[in-house]
Amino acid sequence: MLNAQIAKYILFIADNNFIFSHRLAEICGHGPMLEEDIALSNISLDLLGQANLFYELAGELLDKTADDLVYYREATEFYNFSLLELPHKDYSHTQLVIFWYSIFYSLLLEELKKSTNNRISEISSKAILEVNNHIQHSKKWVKIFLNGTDESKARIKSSFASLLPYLLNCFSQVHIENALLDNGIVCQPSSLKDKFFKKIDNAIIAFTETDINSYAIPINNYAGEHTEYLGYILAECQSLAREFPNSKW
Amino acid sequence: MKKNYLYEVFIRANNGIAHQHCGSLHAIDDGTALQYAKDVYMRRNEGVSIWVVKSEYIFTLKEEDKECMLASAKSKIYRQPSHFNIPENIKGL
Repeated sequence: MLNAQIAKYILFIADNNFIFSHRLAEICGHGPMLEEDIALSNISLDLLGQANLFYELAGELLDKTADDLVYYREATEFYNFSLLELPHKDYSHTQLVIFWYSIFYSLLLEELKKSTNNRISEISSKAILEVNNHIQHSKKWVKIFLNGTDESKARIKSSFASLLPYLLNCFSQVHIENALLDNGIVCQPSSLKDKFFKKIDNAIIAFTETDINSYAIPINNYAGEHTEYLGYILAECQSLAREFPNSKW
Repeated sequence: MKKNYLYEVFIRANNGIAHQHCGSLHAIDDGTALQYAKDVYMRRNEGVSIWVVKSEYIFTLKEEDKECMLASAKSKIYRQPSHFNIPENIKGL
């Protein structure tokens, strides 16, 4: 069923935004300084708003509400990248993941703006403006870490090393129906790998000794496989709705 | 270690009116200060234009000078244009 396949792809985008928005929201109140705290909350809210738009679109195709999709799916039915469900070790980890995900997401949105599906292209055109802001913010921080003290350099290098396998996993080939790809409705994430690494400064790649062909964590997120962290995130997010189903604000 | 400077933030709500001072923040350079000002003071569409200025560049009266500067202006009624008769049809004057 074509609609179910399109819905799955849209859930993949929405889940990425929703889960990452949650991780960023956890930092609210714990940021390194007031302005950063607010900036991170803004990014989290931007992503949550976009997730909402995509969930509603998926809901139309599956005849469900956005709430149904968020609160009543199991972890094996989520399709987000594992990169985004990892708990944050320090601020270099946070800014690095924002940096990588925003660049990936902006490249994806550039492709989806041209989608033959009007609703997808509409939402993508609006979303890309916010995501470009996120790139500016995080790029600045990655550079601050790289050009800072010995400790900041060590931390960002360590974050690169531990997160690179998860990043490379984002570019693994996933199983998408040919009908969706041939008709220009959606885009295969693995096709964005070259553009992605072109967008990242060569200086950063050299300094952190990034090998874009090194080991990628073999978790098939698009098939519902995840790290154990997703279970804890969903337990927190979904518990209230499940305890009091059908309740309203 | 980079120093954190104090910046003052001014926002203009609409084209045609003046920038208003709305707060201050700390940042390590001008670009960062502007970014933070957007994040903190423009969350709800409060304006169309932002200025950020390092507080050290705002030159102002010292406490000792304020008193004598302001006192001399109080008793000079001849500096107010209060003796003119303004015709009724003129608005906004």
